[in-house]
Amino acid sequence: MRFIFIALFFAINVNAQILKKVFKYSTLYAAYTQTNSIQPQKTFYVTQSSELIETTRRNPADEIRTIGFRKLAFFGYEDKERFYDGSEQNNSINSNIGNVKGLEYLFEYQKGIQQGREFENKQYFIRYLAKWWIAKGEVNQNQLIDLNYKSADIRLRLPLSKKLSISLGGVYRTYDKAYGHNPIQKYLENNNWWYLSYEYGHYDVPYDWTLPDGQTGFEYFWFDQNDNLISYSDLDYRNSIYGNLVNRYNREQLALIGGFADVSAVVGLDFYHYRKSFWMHIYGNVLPKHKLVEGDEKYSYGAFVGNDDWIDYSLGGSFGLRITKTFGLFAELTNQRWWDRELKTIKVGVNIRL
Amino acid sequence: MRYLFLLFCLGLQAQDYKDGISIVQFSAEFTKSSEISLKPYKSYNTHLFYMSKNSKIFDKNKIVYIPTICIYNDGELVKKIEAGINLKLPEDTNDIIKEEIDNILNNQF
Repeated sequence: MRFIFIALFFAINVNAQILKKVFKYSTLYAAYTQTNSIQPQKTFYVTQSSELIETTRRNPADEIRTIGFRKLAFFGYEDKERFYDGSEQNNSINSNIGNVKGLEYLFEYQKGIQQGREFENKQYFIRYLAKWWIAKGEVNQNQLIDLNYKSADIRLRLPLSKKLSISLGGVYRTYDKAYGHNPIQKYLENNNWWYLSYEYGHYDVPYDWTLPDGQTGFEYFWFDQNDNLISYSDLDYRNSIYGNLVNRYNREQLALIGGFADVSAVVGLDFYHYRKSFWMHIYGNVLPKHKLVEGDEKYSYGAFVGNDDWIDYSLGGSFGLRITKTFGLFAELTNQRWWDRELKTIKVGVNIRL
Repeated sequence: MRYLFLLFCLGLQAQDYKDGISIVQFSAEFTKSSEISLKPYKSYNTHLFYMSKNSKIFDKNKIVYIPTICIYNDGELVKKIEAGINLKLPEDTNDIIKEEIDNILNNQF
């Protein structure tokens, strides 16, 4: 009996220590942000009796509700806000290593409205950084920039110095679009453009026209599935309506194909040096070899490029130099190409304090 | 250009014992018995310098008493714990170090 009590006491004590380690320095936060939205240019409609009617669509105020739980260290050069509100940008998520060893995580959920469009964003990130290995998992669903992926990677880490390390391993990544494939292109290779309109219930009715100089011709009225007149000519229809049908068709066809998952080999590099007067943080990953593990192979990115050894990469860097107390230079760069999706940001600047 | 690059690399390597959260013990052979163990802090950047081998680093960091423990954060001195006239570090040295590390980490998150 005494043995059971001792074992129980030991187990509780160990668990308490582990929990303390996991949650120490973590922050639970919630925030509500409301800002004025960008309003579109004013638009008007003039009736047959010359009455002017304003038709401008007013966007409601932008709103974001955020709830999150985080334990993610800032790098020395990053501005740490006094309170977390969900707008923080941490390079730690993009780089392979953080500013501290051990466990770091971020669980954040946002819901809101921007430019009149409702959105829901989820970001879950967890990483364990040890001296000789790194494990990382991420789920990112951002409806504002149409991003949706999951990834998990595990690597061996080789520190070449206190500041520089390389890492080698494998990464599992999902993607929900058949990158490189354009369903409408295939459709138009085999069909005339107006067949797509018919498929969505639109129909055309021909009519003849005669100009005052006697010139004659014919055109088509276009009606929607509810018999509403939506366009007075083919050209007007293609300019104003058809684009939406194309997007809808692509979206539906790509959704039928479903998602994909690749396992890829990855080589990473990280360099971090920070002093108040000079800092440099460089990180990068190259993914040279891939294997499709989920999804229809026919529509995979590998099938699109014709092999399994295309090169995906992600690079980033941050640089700052205070030449004097009043004069400084800074630069930030990120460049990522995963499948046929490329994201690039460049920021350079100078600060002169008067 | 090559010299500039070399100078740049040397600049980055200089004083790397102060990188990140760094605990540096300055000591001498004859005060070995007064040193504290840096093993509990091995997940940080730890260094042990002896006067006979690293006199320049002692000068640079203005070490007057031995042993001395310096805690740095990204190159900046956060805390200096010096031995007294009896050549012994304060009894609560480890507590002070832990508290300073805790403060640094608290500011990083």
